[in-house]
Amino acid sequence: MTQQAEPKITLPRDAKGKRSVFFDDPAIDQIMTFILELSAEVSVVYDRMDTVERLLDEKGTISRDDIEAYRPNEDVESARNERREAYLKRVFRMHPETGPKD
Amino acid sequence: MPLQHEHDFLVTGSHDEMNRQHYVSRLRMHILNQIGGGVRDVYENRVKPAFEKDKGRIPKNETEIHKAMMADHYGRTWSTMMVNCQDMVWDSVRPAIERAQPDLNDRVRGVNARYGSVTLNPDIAMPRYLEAADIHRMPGNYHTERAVDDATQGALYDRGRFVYNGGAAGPFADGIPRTMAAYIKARWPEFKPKRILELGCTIGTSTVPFVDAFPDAEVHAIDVSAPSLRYGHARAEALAKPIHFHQMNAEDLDFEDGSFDLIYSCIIFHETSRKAYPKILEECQRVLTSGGMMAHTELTPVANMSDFDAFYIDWDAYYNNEPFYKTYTSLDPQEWVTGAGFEQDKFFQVSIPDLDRSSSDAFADSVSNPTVADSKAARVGESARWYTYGAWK
Repeated sequence: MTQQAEPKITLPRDAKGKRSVFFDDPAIDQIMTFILELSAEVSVVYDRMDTVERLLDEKGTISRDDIEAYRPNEDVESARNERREAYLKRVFRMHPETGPKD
Repeated sequence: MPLQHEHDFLVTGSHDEMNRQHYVSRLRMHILNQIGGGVRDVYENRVKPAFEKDKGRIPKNETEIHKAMMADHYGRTWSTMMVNCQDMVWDSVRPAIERAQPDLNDRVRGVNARYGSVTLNPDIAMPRYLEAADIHRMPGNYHTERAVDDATQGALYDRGRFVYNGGAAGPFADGIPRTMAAYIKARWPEFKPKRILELGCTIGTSTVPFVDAFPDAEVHAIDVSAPSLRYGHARAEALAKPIHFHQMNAEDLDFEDGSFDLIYSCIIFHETSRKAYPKILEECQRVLTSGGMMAHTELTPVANMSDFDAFYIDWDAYYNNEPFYKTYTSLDPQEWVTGAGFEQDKFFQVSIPDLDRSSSDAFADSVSNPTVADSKAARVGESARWYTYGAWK
């Protein structure tokens, strides 16, 4: 008997259990999801640009494979984290009249 | 922030996926520190005065604070960001895990055990507290199996928890157990456990530091979730750490009376239930040797904190699928430990400064002068102290 190929495993995106809605209009909760997800995508694009720039500085010419294979060392990761934190402070700031000042 | 140690079985992701994961870590820290940091000010400056004006008194407990804060748009914005970010943590890891399968399961299955072992029990019943909801909103929880010999949830938890912590617990995600083990050795240097048992070990990140701290001991670790244990075993072998994993329920251990000198756990009780908690403590009492010790790091009891702090720490109880959290933090551990048969004067509790995030003076001080005074609770990533309690038998 030949062994059957193992089926592909897919993972659910949603957790079992209640997902709370916080605003009177659930559309606001939904829009917050879109905004937060978008913020991640902008950051990912920024990091990809950063990879391209670093590789170009280093090698002068690069391929797509170079980009995919690039992994930041601790110094680069820490520079990226500084950039991410500054970005988060610019984008996700609470209105000063309704919250604490930074 | 350190990068995660990449052992042979860790699944990280592509260039972009890893950057997404690292961003989500920073986003979470931003929500906790910047947005969450404003919650107290909003309460003091706006919500409490408005409540007082309306009712002629201040909120009388954390439940009233909770209700008032959740009617405020700052509380709502903070909360919806918290829930979204929690979901983003797991979702940032999911595609890479899916892609790694079924190869990952094959590699885990093919592990040649040189150091430890894993013993599974396919007949074990999953406790209701794991079946009812996915804890921490991790889709599939610790235990769901999607294939024969599945280790998927272990891989999801390993990478996802690192993203969740933002690396705050170190490259091995072991800040708490490393702190516990160092503390036990520093405070009780003459205590030399020969057999050690960890309860609720999941993938063994919390087991490894005890192997390192007590190299002469035989270390066992139990959990009910097979995918976590399979993955944890593979991880331990990759790290060359001798650990014996067993699929067991801590409420009903298959070990003989008096068979371990040290039994410990890292933040597991609040994920069980009111019925399970005393049973687990009774099992500790039964399985410990005479002169043995149990030690549990857990959430700080709310009795030790202000109403506002209790409201803040209890957020997870309402919105992060942790049904027993709120009841657990309302209990007095000493009462339950003695209720399980330990003697009153053998009980101890202490708030231990995190090894990585505190000064060595603060750590040494907690050894010579153990106190729970400064144990204001905080979520993982915020806290630099760990409330730990236990007893000698």
